[in-house]
Amino acid sequence: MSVSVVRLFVLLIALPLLGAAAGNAAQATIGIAPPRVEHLVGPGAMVRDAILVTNPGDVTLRVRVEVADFSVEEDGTVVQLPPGGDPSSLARYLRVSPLEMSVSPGQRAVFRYEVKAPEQFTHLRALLSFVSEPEVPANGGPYVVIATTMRIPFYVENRRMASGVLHVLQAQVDRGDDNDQLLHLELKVVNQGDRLVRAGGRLEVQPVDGGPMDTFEVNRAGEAVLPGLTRVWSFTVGPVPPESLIVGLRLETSWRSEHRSRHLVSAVPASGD
Amino acid sequence: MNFMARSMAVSVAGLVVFLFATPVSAQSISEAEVTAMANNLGIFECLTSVPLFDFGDVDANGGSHGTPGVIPQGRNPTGTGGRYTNQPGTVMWTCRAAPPSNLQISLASLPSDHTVGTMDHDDLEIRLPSDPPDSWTTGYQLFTSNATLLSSIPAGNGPFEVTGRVELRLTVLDTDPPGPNTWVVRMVVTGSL
Repeated sequence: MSVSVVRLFVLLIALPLLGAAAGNAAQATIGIAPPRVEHLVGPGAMVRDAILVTNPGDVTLRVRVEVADFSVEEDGTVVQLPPGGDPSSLARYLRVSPLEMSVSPGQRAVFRYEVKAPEQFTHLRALLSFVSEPEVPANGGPYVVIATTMRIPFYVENRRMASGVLHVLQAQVDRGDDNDQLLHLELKVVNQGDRLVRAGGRLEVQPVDGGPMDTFEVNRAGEAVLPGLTRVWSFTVGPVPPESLIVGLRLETSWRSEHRSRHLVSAVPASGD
Repeated sequence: MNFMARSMAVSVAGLVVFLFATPVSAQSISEAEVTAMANNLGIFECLTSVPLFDFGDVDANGGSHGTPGVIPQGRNPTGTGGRYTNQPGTVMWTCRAAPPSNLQISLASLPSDHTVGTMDHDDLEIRLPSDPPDSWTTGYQLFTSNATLLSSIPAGNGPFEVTGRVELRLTVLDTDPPGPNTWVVRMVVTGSL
């Protein structure tokens, strides 16, 4: 047998093995854009657009779209509900096409959607789940498939309805239990408007005896409070000086109003106290 | 030329310069105008290091069959079967978001997710490390439990992306019929509201 034939034989044996090894080290990645969908429209309006699903990983993924209703508990936990049952359900007005697609590595898939808004509505929402699963080999195993489901919120609101308005029910600022160099803000708010609110805000921290002011962002992620719902936020910021502090809270409660409150935070007790 | 005549000449010259200069300068502004557009799609991305974990050949003795990434654990404490776990770090996940987001992450599974096989669906258990890394959000959870093993965590992009790992434990009971099996563990990531 010549050397070249041996090399060819080794190559034929080695290639599948290399492929298997690469398969073991494979990564599944899925990206959704945009991270949330929000449309402000008039009654009866038609909206058409698309959501892009990218696969920058190195395995082919089967991606399936599911539409559900959702609500949000006070602590922010998203509760998925069956589609069509909630009064604010968008599911009956939303069409997504296709509902399932195979997305190869490096490929970008387009899921088009169409919303026909009803004549009377205030705020409609849905939770879109993009369920992605790698293909499972027919033989071998036992296999454990890690299937990633990415869920994004989808809102359609009536532009003729009143904007969202936050009412601050409670705002409490304390030093952290585990680390007194950090400040903990507990904020309870309710949205009394018809549309969602993305409240930005900041904490302005200054020693009582004077000194430089530190500013920390609140709700940096721009998390929405849905109409009619109460939300309890916990934010931890810092580090802050150990002396007594005056803490000013400024929170946008609507597009033209702001909540302001001042809080006194006591000094860190001296060691040995 | 007296002062009056000189100032009148300067004014006329200035007017001429103004009349001629205006359309020229307007034209040059128009030519220099550049319109830049960009549509920022945002980032909401999750990666699983091993989307398909292969326990390979297993049996009720929990003995080694040389499968990479699998630790044979021998017989289980109750003496009813053998156990295998994945090496820590073999199944990793990473999520990133821009703008920054409060992601809600859970590991869930349903009885129907045991899609193929002869073994009982709850022969597989899952757990997630917590912070600090050596503690655990929970112990191993039976595959059938719809448990949320990790909840809201802030996620950003680059150095602010979040990473975790999944640990798997498979028990092969003496009573399990031989044959291939597949379980689906669902990692559910909800983006910021």
